[in-house]
Amino acid sequence: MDCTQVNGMLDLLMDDALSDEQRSALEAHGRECPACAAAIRSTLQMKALFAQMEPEIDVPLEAQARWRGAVREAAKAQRPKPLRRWIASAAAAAVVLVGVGAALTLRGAPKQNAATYEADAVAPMALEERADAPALASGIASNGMVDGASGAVVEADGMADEAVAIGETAMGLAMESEAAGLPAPACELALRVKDVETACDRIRDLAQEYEAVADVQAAGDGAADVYVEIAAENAGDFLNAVAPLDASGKAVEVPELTGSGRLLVLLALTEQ
Amino acid sequence: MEESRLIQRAGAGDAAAFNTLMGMHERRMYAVALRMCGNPEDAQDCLQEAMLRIYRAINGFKAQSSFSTWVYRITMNTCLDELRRRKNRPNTSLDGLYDAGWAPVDPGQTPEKSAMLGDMRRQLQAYIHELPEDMRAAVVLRDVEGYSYDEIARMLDANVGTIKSRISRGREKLREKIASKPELFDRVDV
Repeated sequence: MDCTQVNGMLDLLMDDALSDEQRSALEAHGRECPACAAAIRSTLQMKALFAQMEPEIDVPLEAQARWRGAVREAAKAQRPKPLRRWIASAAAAAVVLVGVGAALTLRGAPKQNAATYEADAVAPMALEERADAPALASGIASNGMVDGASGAVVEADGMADEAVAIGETAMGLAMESEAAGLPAPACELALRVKDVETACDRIRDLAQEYEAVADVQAAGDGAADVYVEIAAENAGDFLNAVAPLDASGKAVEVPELTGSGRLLVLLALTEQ
Repeated sequence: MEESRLIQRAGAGDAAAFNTLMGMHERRMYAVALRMCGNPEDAQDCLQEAMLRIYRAINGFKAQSSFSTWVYRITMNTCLDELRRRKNRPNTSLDGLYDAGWAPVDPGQTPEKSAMLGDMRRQLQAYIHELPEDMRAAVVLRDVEGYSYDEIARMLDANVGTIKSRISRGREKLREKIASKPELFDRVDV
């Protein structure tokens, strides 16, 4: 072995990849060459020190809390809140119904503009998001405002006022909901818990497991209202999983929920 | 819960699943960040930024590489981005160079030997910090974290030959610096 080969050997030494033969040759060369002997010694020192470096290091608690909190905030920002979704649906229906009404008042103008037909086409879609959509659509159709097949406006101005009135009512509902902050929950469960914050975390975890979305709102004096949007078929199991959080010692009556689609349940948490 | 299920749920926006999943990787991610950045404050900033980048991208993780390879790739890129961003700023003092991340000293060691060993450890960490970033990244992943050359090549998006070269040159620089301080490194057997 000569000095030019030593660097490559030292990399194999670091990687524990030297054969016995190579090791002997390296040691023999080191005995003859002081410069390479120093390089071998330094390599062994470096290898020993690297071996003392831990590949994993405990993350300080505050740093853990910071990154986890940052991720939760990012998740919240991405996710539409249940009450926003409901308001958006109601408002969308309201806006379109007003649009339909406006289209009808234009009936008889020399040209139908594209917006009229667009409003007609959009109306059925938005209506679907309302619980009373079938009745409303049927009512509109039977009054002849919209032809069911073509979606064209077939009735004259008499219906315009009614359409505008329906639109205004829907708008009003949306505004009322927004003012109140929430639509009516399908059920409310009051829980007296040991610690509200811990209970909220547990409810969030359970919500994830049951493919629900939980929104926590502070309710003053350390209490919290948790709105959970959940598929109706999961609601019973979810509430039964949440009920044990109650620390009062009294039996928690979990209501029986029927229906399809998604429901809103309210969990009112107060500290024991 | 198994990793693939957690990845799926995290990709769907489940922050709790994400936090559970990444809880299994955070200590190694932090070790990498600490050795790259040289101080806990910057390392914790890089850790948080890496976690957010992973969260935003996890829905697009296609399992073409292993999850951990993907995670450490993002971690290392985050650290390298931060180091390059800081390049034009005056060098951070290494007075606060961390002492975390070393195996406990043999309790049988005398206090003098323990102190000498501490000095050697801190000096090596300082030498690692003086390496150019690309070389430092490769050496840390190989000689501290123990990844294979292939894994490092995937993490750093380079070919294996380039990675071997960076590691060899990095080790050579460290070796030369260690050899230049026999009064420190020859005092006690490591």
